[in-house]
Amino acid sequence: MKFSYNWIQSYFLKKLSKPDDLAEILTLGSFEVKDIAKDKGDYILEMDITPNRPDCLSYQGIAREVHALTGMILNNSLLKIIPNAKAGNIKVKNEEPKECLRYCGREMFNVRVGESSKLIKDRLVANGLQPINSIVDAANYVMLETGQPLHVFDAQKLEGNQIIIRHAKKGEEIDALDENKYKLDESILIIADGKKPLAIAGIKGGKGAAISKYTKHIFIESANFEYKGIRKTSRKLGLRTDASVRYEYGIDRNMCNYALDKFCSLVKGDISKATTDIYPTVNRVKSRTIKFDLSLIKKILGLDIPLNQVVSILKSLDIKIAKKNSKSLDILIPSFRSDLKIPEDIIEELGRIYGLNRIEPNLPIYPLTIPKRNESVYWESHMKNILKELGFIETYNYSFISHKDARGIDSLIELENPVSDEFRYLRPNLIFNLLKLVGFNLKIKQIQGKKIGEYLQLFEIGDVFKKTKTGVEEKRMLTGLIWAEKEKNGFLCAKSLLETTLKKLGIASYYFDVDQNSSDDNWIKSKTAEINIDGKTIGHLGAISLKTLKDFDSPQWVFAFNIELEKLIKECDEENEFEEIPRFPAAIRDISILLPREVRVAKALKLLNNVGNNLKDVDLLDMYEGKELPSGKKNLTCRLIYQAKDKTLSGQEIDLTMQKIIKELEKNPGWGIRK
Amino acid sequence: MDLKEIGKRAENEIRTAQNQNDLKKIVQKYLGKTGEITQILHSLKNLSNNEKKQLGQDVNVLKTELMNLISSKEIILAQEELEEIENKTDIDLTMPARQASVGHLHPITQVEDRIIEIFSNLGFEVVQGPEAETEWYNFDALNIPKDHPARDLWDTFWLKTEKKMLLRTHTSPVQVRYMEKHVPPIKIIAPGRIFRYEATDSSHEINFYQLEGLMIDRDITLSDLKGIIEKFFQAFFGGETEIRLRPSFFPFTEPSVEVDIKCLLCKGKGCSACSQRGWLEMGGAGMVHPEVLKSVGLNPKQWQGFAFGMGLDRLTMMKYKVDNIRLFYSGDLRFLEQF
Repeated sequence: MKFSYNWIQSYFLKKLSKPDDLAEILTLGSFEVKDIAKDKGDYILEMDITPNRPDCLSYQGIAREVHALTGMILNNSLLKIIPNAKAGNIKVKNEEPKECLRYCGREMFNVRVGESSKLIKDRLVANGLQPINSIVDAANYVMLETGQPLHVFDAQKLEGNQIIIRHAKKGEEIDALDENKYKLDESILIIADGKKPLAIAGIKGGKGAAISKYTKHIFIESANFEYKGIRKTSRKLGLRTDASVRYEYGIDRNMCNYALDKFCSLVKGDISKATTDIYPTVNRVKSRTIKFDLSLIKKILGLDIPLNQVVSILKSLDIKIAKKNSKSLDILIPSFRSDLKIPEDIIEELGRIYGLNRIEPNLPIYPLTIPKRNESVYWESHMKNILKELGFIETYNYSFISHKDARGIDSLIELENPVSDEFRYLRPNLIFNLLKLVGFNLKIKQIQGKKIGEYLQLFEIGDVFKKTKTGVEEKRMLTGLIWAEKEKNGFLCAKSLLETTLKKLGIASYYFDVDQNSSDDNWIKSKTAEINIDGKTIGHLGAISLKTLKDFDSPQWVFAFNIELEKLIKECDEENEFEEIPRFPAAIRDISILLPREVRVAKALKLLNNVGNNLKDVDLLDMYEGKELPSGKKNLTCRLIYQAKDKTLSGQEIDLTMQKIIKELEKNPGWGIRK
Repeated sequence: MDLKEIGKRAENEIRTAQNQNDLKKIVQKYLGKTGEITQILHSLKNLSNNEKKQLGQDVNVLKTELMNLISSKEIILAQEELEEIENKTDIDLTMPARQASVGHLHPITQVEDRIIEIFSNLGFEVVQGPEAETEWYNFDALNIPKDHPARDLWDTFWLKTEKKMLLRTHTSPVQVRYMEKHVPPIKIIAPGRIFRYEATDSSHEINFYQLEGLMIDRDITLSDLKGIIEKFFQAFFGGETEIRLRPSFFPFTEPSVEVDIKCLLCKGKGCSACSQRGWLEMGGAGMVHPEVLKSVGLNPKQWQGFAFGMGLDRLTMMKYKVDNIRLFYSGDLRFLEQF
């Protein structure tokens, strides 16, 4: 909200500190001054009034804050009006006392609608309000000054000389003063006369009984509406006004009559002796007393405030002290401070007025303990570092996908209020957004004339969402993408990176299985394996389907691993036992196996692993499928490394093992050893 | 034969030897099987005992001298030969270096890791929770009533689910969940992704990261909050980073404060980085509201403490001088490869 420096000054006889200094005082004691703008001979201070302080949506409120913070004396001149006209004839009926908490009104006769004084016009403009005429301007002026919104009706236009506070009827409409027509419904509270809606209660007036230059007889409304209803209607109509904002904050019900008087003092005309004041007993603000222990100040702030200071601070805030002893205070809260309810609220007032900067930083003393390690956080961080070491680039993508990206996937969670179609659903996986980055970044590299490497490796760790019967299933995933210029390299690269990651996480017992029952067509079924640990599937490794790549503008080929983080972390293990460095020499034997093309390499390797003792390692040196070979065959060259822990192996021993292996291999039809 | 003359000649030849091969030849010539000095030694047997003794001594002295000279020359020549290879090998020091291929962690990850490290050192435990939350954990339990304008402080994404759910607007629900299950003393931090329904610009995103902290014990005060937060910023930004508190409002804290740090660039004088204010707003904090303690089953008469929250994106932007939050979520390698 905007506040004019000159207007604030008018509440004080003494001169205020310079605008910059006043802003600093308010920032450190009340509300942050976000901006100071020079405006002709004035300065406009822009402040964010917090939702707990409806009283400060007014000049009076801000002046009170300045008084409390600086000790400057408020220039309180008494308001005096002389009602001189007989009672008018307007009858008010409040049909909704739960929503219209108080309704005050007064009539004025023989008013003259003209131009406002320069002072009023200047002040309205400084606050961003357009001067309209002397009557409307006075109402707006009083609202700025007191925080109480007023509405003025042309009394001669009120059908049946009555004002009714009621809910709108189905089909009713209102031509509002903002030149818009609003459709009303039964949930909306309105001010009506005998026939038609005159105003949307507490939000906007209508043209029906608007002030014109011929207006002579007016009815001024000063009411208090319940904040929830105002808020709902304001949202429903998409209409936020100076009045609705104030009602939403919840302003003081005791301000109604004062604001009326203030209005009457500004407008020339005859003031009715009678006033309307519909204020049901149940709605009356009860005076509130808070008892609080003085020891609480130190207990909460960690700072002592001397008793005489406490007393003077409370007084400066219009808080009265009902009872006082050396240990506690009973204090009376003024009705405009509805935010002060518990002793802690009072401590806040004392702290901010006394000065939060007087609180010294202190390091609390507590038993020295090692905080419990969060396993997910620990392993996640470890994992990220391993992937980084392996050349992966970590990305953060949006938690949303677009309508287009959804591609008919069911069980997606849609947002009630997406910011745009681009972010309509919660992401069901990390793959889609990652895939977009492949094409995007390769294109950029191309444009920049940069050499594209053979590989692009990206990963992300984040939550994905799925709709279930009971609500939302949220899972944390680790997804890595490898784009490779050459198809086969990509898979082996992805596999090796994943294997290294798993090993570094202390997982040795993983294995890959062809995924039998996958129905996810984002992957190529024949080129995707399950990642298993101890019989549990933790995720998938494979090739992304070419259709999916196309949909996300990604070039071919992309390989990915997609792992459920919770399952993976359960298998992570810090234990790592040292294995003795071999003391006896290793013996090396290479073997070339000719076998049918369709046989998986894993089968041959398994066989080599299972025959004979002291095999330390098997390496696949080469796989060849060239023309020189008999048709339908491929050749595997493997290196077998033999090494014993307790002796040097003799050539004889190893040769014996090799013979056994060859025998086993040749048992398979179509397999042979190339010599 | 004049021994002296032989000595002089040999010495001269050793001194002028060009390479190891020359040196080998000199050794052959004088000290080899048929070398000049070896022959003199052989000829000694024909002399009288006296002569034998005298000449024998002289020859041996000369032999030792020459051998010393040779081995010194050998060291010099070996070094010269290595130097020659070094000199022959041409390396252009001005050639651009080959770029090593390395991975990169997202800058927010790096900042988060550092923050977790600092708070772990202070004894804080790290806690996490779901991003899709219920109204209860995100609002009600935090003393933010329905239909209250205070809820406007958090522009919320709502989900189309049977049970009303939302995307958490802060990581406070994580603290609520933790407090429900743990008896104080409590010292936790809760980093994580949060969501706000708002228009994006260079400093606003619809998803971003927050770090909240909570400390509850018998007598934790606002002054302790100031101490812990100050220590944190000093560790994070280094040096004597100064902080200040100013009043604010949050439904879940009372008193509530805003935490500012003195601008790192201008040290409080005012510059463009701090919009001439001298101070930078870092986050909200305060003493946990008694209603919040009650809603998680803690007795506010027995327990009290502070909570704070700050934006990880903002801290990261300050640390690396990034001027646009959207870069974090762009996946643009030109950005990510810088970290």
